[in-house]
Amino acid sequence: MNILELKNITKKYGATTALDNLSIAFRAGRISGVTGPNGSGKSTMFNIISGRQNTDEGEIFLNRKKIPYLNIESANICGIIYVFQEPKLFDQISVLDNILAPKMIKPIFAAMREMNYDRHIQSICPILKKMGLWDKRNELASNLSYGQRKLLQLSRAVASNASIILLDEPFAGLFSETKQIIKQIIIELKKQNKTIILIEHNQKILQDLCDKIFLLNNGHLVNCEKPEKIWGKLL
Amino acid sequence: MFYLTHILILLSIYIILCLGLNLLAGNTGLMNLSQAAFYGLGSYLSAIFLTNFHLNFFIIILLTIIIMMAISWPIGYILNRIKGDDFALATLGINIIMYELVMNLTSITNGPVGIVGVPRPTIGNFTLNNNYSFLFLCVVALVIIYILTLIISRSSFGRVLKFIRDDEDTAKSFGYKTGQYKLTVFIFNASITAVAGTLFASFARMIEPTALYTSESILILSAVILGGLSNHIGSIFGAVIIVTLPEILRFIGLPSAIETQARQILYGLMLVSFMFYRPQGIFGRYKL
Amino acid sequence: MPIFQITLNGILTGCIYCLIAVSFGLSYKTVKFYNLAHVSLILIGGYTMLLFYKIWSLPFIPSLIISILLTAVIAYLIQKYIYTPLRNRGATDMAMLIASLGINAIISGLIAIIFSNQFQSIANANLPTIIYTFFNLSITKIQLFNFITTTFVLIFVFSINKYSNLGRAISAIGDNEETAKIFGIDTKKIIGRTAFLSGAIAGLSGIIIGFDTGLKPTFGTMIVYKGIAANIIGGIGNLPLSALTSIILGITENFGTYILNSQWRDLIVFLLMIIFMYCRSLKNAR
Repeated sequence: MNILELKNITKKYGATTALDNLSIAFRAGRISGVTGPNGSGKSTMFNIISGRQNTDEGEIFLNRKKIPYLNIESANICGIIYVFQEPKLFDQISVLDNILAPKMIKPIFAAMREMNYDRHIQSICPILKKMGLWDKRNELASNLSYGQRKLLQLSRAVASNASIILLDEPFAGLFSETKQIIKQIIIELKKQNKTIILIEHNQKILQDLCDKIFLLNNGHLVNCEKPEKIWGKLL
Repeated sequence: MFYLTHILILLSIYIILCLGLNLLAGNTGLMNLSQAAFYGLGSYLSAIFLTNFHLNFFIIILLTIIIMMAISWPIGYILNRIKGDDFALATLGINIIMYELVMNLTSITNGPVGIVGVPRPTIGNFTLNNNYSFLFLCVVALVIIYILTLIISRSSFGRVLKFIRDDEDTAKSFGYKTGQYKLTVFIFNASITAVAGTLFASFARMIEPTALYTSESILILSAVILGGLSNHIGSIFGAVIIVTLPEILRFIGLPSAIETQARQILYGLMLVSFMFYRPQGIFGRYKL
Repeated sequence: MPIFQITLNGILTGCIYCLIAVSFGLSYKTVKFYNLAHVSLILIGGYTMLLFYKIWSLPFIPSLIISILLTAVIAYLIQKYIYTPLRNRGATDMAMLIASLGINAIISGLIAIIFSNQFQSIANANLPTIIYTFFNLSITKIQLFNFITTTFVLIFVFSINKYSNLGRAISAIGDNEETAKIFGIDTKKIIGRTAFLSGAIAGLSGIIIGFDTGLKPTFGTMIVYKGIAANIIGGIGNLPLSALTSIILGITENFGTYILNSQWRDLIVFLLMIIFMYCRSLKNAR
């Protein structure tokens, strides 16, 4: 079943067209790889799906229902979370507080009374331990290394229980061991029946992980195939 | 001794103001340059109530808080959308607007003369004419507000405020209605200033428009910054600095003619050097 | 017809805002934070003129030039020894703003100590104000001076902005400082020069304020804040538009005071500023 579907999306920045009549559909519970040259509109597509930019034209369907207006808040309600290439963390608070962000009570007056986090910390602990961040839980997020920041952002997304996870080059600029950790986590997420959309340039990673690969160019969807097939066609 | 209690009363009022502003500036990252305006407005409101109605002091505090909340609601609503540096400048504008209002609505505020002869608070049959008893009242108010602000900043609510300070969009993407949070903390700060204003009006027994000067707002914000943003001890320490510094200058024997200016220059020097060498303030963790 | 007179007065009030808005905008374009130390630069300009022209009774033109140059040099020094090192330490815009507030406190405090806290006017109170009248419109000599200098300064700044290398470098830095650096622009030098230029304009506006309404270490701030407000309404860093909005602001203020009462003029300006900020945030919100 298609969980997320973009239909005839067009997005222009002044004179340049980032997305040109793009139609693309992602299936539930699969890992979909998105690839293409720089400037082909991958990040713009993610920004639109996560509600950070609006579209000029086109429609977005979630579970076959049309979403009338997508912004950051409604994207959260739809269960979409964006993991950025350059990690966006709450820099001046501790790692633990960062990962508590998706867990805490949302309504204001209930939030004022919530002082005890043991329950949340218990649920978070395994993720942090897997990421190797448990020992650093009391450090400020800004003191972490680049790789650790990326891991923290990913673990925050995992903790958020979002059903659609957008990963923008999660492997870029990382050490191979860290890459392995992230790979495992993505596979685990798939087992939990989450939908993962992954921007990636590395062929091998795409081939290993993805169920389907979407090739974008100049804001168009050029090709979408199973990974075994697509490379043959490209070459 | 009389002198000391006088200073301590002023100190506790300023600590209350700094604790409130710390919630806004330190925890939420909203650099509010209109604290003095809210404080002065609270003083005016309570001065009007105290001189005109002979009500229980606590009812007057409550009334002032409610009205200040009602005033700050639309202001906070408008300011909600304005971010970062613009927020600082917009609040500066609000400070000026409020000052002009107080100066020019002469039928209510007596214009530049201000309201004089504000009675000391009466609790039951007991009037707090004595400075010692007044100090006791101030300390009680201070302790209550200290505990309240501590609870707020330790709770989930306080954490969300810090999320907003660091990255509002990401906070939104986790489903927090950041606008409501900012509005709530803004209104909460306004009600704290209402308490401080009521205490000041009944302590000084008068209130003048000079209390609403923008320089006063800048002074309170710089106290919070110097003490350390996002830290309660820091806010208290900052208040101690701004209240005791003029007394120390007077003690050294500076002529009273240049006392205010010397104070101003010292604050300026401190602000600049802190921005250079310790942007998180003395006790703070949050780097500006 | 009072309408024409009010419009004229509005334009003349707007001229002062215009100078302040332009100098503030120039500074904002390169340093990209609200440099509130501008308030004290204007005071420096006014008070040095007071010192040279009124107290030491130097001739008009030399004292004018010296005070403008002095303000410009001080602006340059502040930029070189405070703002640039602060930026190099990685200070955020907010930290810069706070530092500029500190500088402002220092300078205005020093001025208040040296020149006293009293209200002073550079214009000689014993001489009658010269008023020119034509077509039933009256204009004082200092207002005429104000109008002419503002026109010249605007032409000067806009032509620099448009046709000179400095102007191109400034707008390159305004777009993106890092890119400008990559393209071989000596950003430090340009920022320093811009600080000098904006300081000079600020000094000039201080002098005009000193002649027109008079100086007070705490009072001048209001006019300056209004100039800054005009700049913000016009879109920060957009010099032609902020010059235009300053004039419009001056006219609105004068009509507002004519219709309502003179006491509400400051309120009108800042209300407008906040409304504009709000509207702009509505537009920017996705």
